[in-house]
Amino acid sequence: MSKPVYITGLGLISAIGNNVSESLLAFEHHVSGVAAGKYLPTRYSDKFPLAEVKLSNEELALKTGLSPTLSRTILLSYIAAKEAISSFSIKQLQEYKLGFISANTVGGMDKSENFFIDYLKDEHNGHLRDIVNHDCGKPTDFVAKELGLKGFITTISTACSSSANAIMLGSRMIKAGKLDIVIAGGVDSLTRFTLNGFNSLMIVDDNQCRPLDQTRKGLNLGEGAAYVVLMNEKIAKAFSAPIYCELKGYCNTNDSHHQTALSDAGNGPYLAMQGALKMSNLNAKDIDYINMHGTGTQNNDASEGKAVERIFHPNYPKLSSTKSFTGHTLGASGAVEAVFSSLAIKNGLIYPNFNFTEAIESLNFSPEIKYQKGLPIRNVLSNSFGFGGNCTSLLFSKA
Amino acid sequence: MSVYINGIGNISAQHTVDKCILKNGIENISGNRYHCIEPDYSQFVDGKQIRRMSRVIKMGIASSTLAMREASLLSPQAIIVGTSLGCMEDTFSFLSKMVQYNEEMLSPTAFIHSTHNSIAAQIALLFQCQVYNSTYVHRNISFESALLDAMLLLEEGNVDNALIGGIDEITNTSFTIMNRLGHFKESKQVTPENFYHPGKGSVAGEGAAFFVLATTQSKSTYAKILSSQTFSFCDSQEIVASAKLMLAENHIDQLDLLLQGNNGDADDDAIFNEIADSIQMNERTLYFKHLCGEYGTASAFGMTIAAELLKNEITAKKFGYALAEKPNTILIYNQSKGIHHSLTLLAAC
Repeated sequence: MSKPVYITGLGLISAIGNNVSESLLAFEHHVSGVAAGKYLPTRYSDKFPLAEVKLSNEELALKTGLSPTLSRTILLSYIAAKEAISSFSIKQLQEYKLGFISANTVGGMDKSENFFIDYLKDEHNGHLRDIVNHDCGKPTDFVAKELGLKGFITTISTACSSSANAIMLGSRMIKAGKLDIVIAGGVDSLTRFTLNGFNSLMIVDDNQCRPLDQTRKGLNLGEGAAYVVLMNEKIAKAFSAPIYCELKGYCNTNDSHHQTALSDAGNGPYLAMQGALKMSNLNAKDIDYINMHGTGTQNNDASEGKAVERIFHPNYPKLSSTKSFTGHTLGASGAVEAVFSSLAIKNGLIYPNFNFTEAIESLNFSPEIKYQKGLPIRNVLSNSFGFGGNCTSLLFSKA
Repeated sequence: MSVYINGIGNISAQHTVDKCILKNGIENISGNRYHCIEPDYSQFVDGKQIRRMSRVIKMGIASSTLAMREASLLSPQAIIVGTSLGCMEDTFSFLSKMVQYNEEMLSPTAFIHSTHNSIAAQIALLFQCQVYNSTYVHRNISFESALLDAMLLLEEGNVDNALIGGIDEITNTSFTIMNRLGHFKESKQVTPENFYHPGKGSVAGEGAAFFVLATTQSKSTYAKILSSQTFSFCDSQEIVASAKLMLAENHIDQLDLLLQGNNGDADDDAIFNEIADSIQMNERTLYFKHLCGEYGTASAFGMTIAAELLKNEITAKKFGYALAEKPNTILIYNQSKGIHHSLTLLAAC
């Protein structure tokens, strides 16, 4: 048996709040972060509602003391990573073998797409400061440097499962004794690139999305950043760190069916959930809540639903998709939902599905619609699936 | 547990994809842009699929297929790719159309393949692998992150082989922009003879180097990987200390060869030279980027060189290296701008 890895810090910024406690209030008051677009300059502002962080770049810069010319991806990542480590002193963290493992899908694309407007007119045009943010490693490096996180640093990009894989790698490195403390998670900011990409696939809902619902029409794009702090028992004790939960299991699989669609049988999702259960030595009946990937697209929810049915039928745990509140934060979503899952265990929470109307006909379950707290939640599964068939499930347990 | 390199597929600016380099020696390349010598991709994918694939995805498919063929592996138990800039051709294609058509009438094809994980995904799709699949995108340690993940998987004992690769492409757009950022020397300045003359910037490179790693040795084994580590935001003393520790932990009193990522940029090379100096390897240091150019995952090409040198006596001569005898241990050191560093230690079998 390998030694347990605990989650001892949480940081989050998304459309439903600029930190962890604001986000919980949004669930409690049943307020979705999906609204008419205000900050992303796009011709679709009136057509597609977005789950934007409710601060402009200037306001984010003011809040952080960073430059407003930086990529929004950097600004969001910095805020969430800083919150995650806020109960520790950097100096103290630096005494240990430290890792910062981040994830995103499009790096500083919010700036690159501005650069390209001028660049395409003449290749000598375009502010170079807008293109130096382009690569996915840049936000990770900037935040690591700014917060003083040195040692092991890397970035993962596996589409919408990116940050779930970052958390998984962090845990594996601690279990292997290669690192003592890992700050793991991910970020993505809204960009015209992703909005137009998803729109070209015709999977963006022009209303508030309805995941796990028969009437679902697509996803709402969101943005945000989230990080968790991972430690083994010895280090957590040395820091007298607050223990939210144990990251007990995880599994990364590939659906290997199609670049942008999951198989009807949900093979990748099924294998990911089964793998996480097996690693944790838990059975389906031990799961109290599933934070579904639940994007609201026809394909994802049907495929994921089928996989859930294959494992849990007829005894379904409570389940919901928090993307109905946060939108789909892409590379950040695995970490955003890891934060929610950790809090579900720590505070006995069940998150509702926003805007739920009708159960999916082909499935035998429907999501929770009320926020509940103080329940005995022992084990939570969190699913993150992405383009390229990348599927990862994380399993959080009461410590 | 040992980790063996049992197969390599290598598309580079040299004749590595068909291994002709081992017969005919190296290509002398001039200029500031080293493009890959590419195979006929129809050997690897059927015509209909090829048309939809960008060059970098084809390079990934072909080099991973070659690595698996050499290792006689039909289906890997993990697929892990490192790419510093991913699928730029598709990314810039979608981006350009989005700007030109003012966010209207966009076909999803380029967007679908623009995601960084689409190389690993297409490999999984082609070989029908439902196994562990990941993609690392962290600058000049993207490949080493993939390597480290694979070594961790093998150590954990749930798999006994893994397909890993380092891959990046040059596109006209990426070259133009990186040139504006001062990454490259002027074309006429660079000849094969003066590649390492100190100046500002290096030469644009690209490549796809894939490896089958396994816990058991086979007749196709090149070498074993003893250790690989990355370091970020550290000073050179820490790198030197880590290199010495890595050698000591692997009971190597005298390293045979240091293979470094010098690239002709004066600032970068000063750091490389300082490290070689500090571990007393000046006399036994070789470089590899004059063969492949500089790019985020060039160290994957470096690892193919190390593996070949450890396997065949003939390699050194054909690759233009003056070595008295075949090395038994090689340490690869790469870094960029003093920020991210990697050390990978290999030994002959």
